[in-house]
Amino acid sequence: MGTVLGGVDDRRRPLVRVALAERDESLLALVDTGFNGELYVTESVARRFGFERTSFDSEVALAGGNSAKVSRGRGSIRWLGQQRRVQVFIVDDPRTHPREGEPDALLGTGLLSPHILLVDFTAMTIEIEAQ
Amino acid sequence: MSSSANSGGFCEERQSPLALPEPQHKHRMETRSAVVQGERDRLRAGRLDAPPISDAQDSRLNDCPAMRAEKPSIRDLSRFCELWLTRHETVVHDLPHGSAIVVDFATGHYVAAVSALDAMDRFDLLFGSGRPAWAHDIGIPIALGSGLWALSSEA
Repeated sequence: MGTVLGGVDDRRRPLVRVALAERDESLLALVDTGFNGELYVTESVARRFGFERTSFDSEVALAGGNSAKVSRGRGSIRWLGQQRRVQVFIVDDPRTHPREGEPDALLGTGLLSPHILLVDFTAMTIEIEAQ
Repeated sequence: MSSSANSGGFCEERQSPLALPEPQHKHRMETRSAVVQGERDRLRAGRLDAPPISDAQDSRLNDCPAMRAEKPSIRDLSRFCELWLTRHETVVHDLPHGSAIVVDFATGHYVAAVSALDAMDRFDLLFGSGRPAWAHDIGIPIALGSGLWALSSEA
């Protein structure tokens, strides 16, 4: 069973690196416990990391109570010591470019469950431990 | 009319009475039926292990008299939407929490499976990839708390 380690940045955001399967790359993901899917990325990030955008759309509920339409995609990652297929929600790119060092994706509770997430805001560390 | 059938695995293709008019629809369904049958055979081999859709569910899916009676005379959008909602509720009523459906609104086909990934894979297998459809997780609406929405507005 594997463990994923990450850190809390100076904006108090919990971040981890997610390794892609069969690619020597990883994406920086913001651990978002308000998101109950697996991964959420923009269209350009999906293309960059080889996630397949499907023809399937869905509706997601936003924090403010509104809803938005997003596309569903598929991909493969190495997660907690194993390769696994993931469902990726893909949204169109924002009009402005993200700043350097910004996360590439949201990582939701779909990937955290049924594991253990430990966020230490004193030591600024994160640990996701497989169960 | 419906091609829904009970099988040994939980992954079903369901067809709505609101589908395309005949004879085009009939021809398409005949073509699909062979594909669907092959898929069912694979499912019966036990690839998926979730509970099967019950006979009771199947009989309810196959029996939508109100919709059948209305089919030739659907003229207004509100009535169409009402029938769709009824149909949708009938289809998803007893599906397990955490399962998923993919719906082709153009033809009325539903594909249900134990997960969204499985449902999408099955839909692609049955109807080919690239066909626009709607995916929905039963009992688990996807919520998005923060993150990229905020990032996109502040960057």
